[in-house]
Amino acid sequence: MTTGSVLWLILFSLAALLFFGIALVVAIHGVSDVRALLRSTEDEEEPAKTPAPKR
Amino acid sequence: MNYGVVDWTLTAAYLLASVGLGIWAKRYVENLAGYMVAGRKVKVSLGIATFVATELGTVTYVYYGELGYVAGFSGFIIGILAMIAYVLVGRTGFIIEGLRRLRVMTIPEFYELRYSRKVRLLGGLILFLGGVLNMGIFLKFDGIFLTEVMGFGQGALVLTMSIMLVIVIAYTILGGMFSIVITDFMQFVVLAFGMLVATIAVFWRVDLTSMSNAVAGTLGTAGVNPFDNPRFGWTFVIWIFVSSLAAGALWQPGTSKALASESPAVAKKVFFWTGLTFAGRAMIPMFWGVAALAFFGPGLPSASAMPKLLGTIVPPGFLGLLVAGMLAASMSTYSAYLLAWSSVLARDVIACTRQEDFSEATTVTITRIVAGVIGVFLLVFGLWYKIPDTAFQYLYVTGAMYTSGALGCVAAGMYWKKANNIGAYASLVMGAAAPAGFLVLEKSRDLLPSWLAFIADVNVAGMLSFFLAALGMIVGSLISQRTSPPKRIAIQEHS
Repeated sequence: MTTGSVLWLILFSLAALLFFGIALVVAIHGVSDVRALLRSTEDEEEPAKTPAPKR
Repeated sequence: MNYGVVDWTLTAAYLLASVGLGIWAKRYVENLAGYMVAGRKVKVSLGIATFVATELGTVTYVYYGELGYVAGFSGFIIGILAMIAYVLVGRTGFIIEGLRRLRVMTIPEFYELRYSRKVRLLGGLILFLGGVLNMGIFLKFDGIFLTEVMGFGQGALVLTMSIMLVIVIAYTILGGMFSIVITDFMQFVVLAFGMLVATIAVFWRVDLTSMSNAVAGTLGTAGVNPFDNPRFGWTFVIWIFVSSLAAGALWQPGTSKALASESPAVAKKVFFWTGLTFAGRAMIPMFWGVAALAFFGPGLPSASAMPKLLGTIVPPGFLGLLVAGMLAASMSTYSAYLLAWSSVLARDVIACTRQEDFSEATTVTITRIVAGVIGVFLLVFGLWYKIPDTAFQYLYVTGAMYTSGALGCVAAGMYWKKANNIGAYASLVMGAAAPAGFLVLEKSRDLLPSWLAFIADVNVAGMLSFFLAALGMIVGSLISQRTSPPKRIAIQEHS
């Protein structure tokens, strides 16, 4: 193998590790982010559905 | 035909899940901010997932795979440049932090705040044209990929792509950004898994030594040194770095992820971490392309080589996973781009031809109609347009039509007090001139006089667009300070 090829393959390995590593972390943590996004939207909808208290 | 029953079942299950999820998410859209920027409630991990999914389509795999096949390892430099540019934007908050603080929904909104409504109209129009032209070839490249991997003819392919496009248009029109971020998350997981399957298959069937030998034998030093490669060189490297910096901060489908983030700090984190994936985003499909060069040798149609390799080496069953991953990548990209360009046409072009804005409900309705029209355009344009140079360079030069002027207008508008209306007009027009000239004149390259031949070089046209846009902003602003005094905005007050 040429030196240039070896250098690029080392950089490729690091880039691929970073990509798949971040993808794994994001796939795990993203579930709770999706839940939080949907929950916060539902919470905002609630007050509108509750009738205003009578004086 | 490479595709078996298990593969079909996996693909159908994925498509059904996407449609169900996208339409289900529609119930969360309550108003314009919900439709266009998901209520500005997106957290870091979800932001990264939707950003990566948006910026990775099947077209991305095909054009990077093509570069790997024709340029060897030297194309890998693009991944490094993109990573540095996006990480820099995330680390410093260059432009995106200010835009998020101003709570804008599209980039041309900034033009009206800082310059005038007419600048917003012009900037919106250029952004829309550049964006839709850029997106116009996506379907063609998706088609090439699926034809080679699945082993179908052109007729079946048009049908498959049309079904996919209808699904994407349906959930984008109905659920806007809410449907996009939720489907993007699922699509991100599926596409990452598909990429892993393809990379493992390549490692399994093509050894690294034969890849190195194929590059050395076919391309010599041009295969490992981008500065020795006639496709690249210094002009290309500088252009791609500046272009990545501009696209990082100002490409509406990507920037909308910052605008949808729950705070400016979250927007910066999303860009930083997404930026770190960008070297892999480019290098992984290029690696598959280099493997195709080693496996088949040179001489195949360059865009088809990498998909042909994957169709050959990925075993049945896993092929269904790979195609589901590629469809996921395409759908997440189409949905984000459709929403980005339709919201720009509705809010920044159509609405700006009037004195007053439309109501929120009317804006959403116009955006939905425009998204449908763009979808039809994609099918027609994607089937007949013949792409100049490589797909990668076509995408960057159409992107430069907008990003060069936008970089001049937004960066100067935020960080230079003397930036004014005249400078903004000059920057937008001059930035768009070189790429537009390239797209028109390269078709008649042989008829050009020698002094104008440089414009038919894609790298020169791209680089020139940024230079002209900056020149237009500086000279235009400086000569008209009295006739057109600069407008001031306080970015901090809006946070």
